[in-house]
Amino acid sequence: MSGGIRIEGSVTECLRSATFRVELENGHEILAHLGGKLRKHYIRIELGDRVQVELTPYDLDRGRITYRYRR
Amino acid sequence: MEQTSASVPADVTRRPDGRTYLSIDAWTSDVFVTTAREAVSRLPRPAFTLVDEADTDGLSLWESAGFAEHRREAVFVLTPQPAPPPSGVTVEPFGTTDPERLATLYGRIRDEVDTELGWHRMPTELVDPLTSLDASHYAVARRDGTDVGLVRVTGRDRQPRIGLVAVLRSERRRGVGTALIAYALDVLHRRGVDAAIAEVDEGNRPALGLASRFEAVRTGGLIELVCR
Repeated sequence: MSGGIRIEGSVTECLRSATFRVELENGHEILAHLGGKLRKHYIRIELGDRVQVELTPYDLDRGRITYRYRR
Repeated sequence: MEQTSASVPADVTRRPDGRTYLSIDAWTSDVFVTTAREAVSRLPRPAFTLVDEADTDGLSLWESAGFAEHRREAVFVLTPQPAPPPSGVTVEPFGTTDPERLATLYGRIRDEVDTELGWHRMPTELVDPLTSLDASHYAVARRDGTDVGLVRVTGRDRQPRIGLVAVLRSERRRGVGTALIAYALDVLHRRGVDAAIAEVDEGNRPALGLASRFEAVRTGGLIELVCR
């Protein structure tokens, strides 16, 4: 839809500036920010959350969280 | 792969109170601003969006698209504190209030907010009482058989959030709101959860005072932007 690659991962660290460290299923770790739709709906991300991230086509070490799975 | 504004999802949400919220996810600044301008040109005004206060890059992008700061919400973590209901007031547990009674109380509260504070200063997303008033999320304060206030808590098993505390005008400043929050936090405590999140409008001094009674720790904030 927006040109990104979607993949699942787990939040390993909550950083400042609304950024999170996410370990992807393939073991790769990226920095991800919260997608606008999640923020608009007051969805909060916590350590250990299972999330879907969309990787930027410009930098595979960065992405945004587009979905938080229920625990 | 080049991203164009045509491929960027600009998501629009219209809340039950009539406010229109826009969100945009773009990988580059120029695409973001172009998309925001295009989207807002088609939306009814005013249009709103939310940005984390720590997200300075996001804030400047929205400002480039014509948005300006409207108000701020502080995000607090509240912890349980004893506060029994005032004399003559009881709290009906979560999920036990008759849905019709709850809808009636909710409607009265909505009407009062309309004529007082106004929904534009309410921090949380409001539910549509006709479609989403889930009684399991609400505890209700009663006095002499009459419903006088409510608290809404969501995410009780995982990430509890006090989404709304409201007391009818005639019952304010008597400790009903404090008792409702204390009750909600106590229920969570008994389930092994020792804190809950609450967003509070930073211009709402009574709400800030209420939060402070629960040893509120500020953990962040949101900035609501508006394009008029």
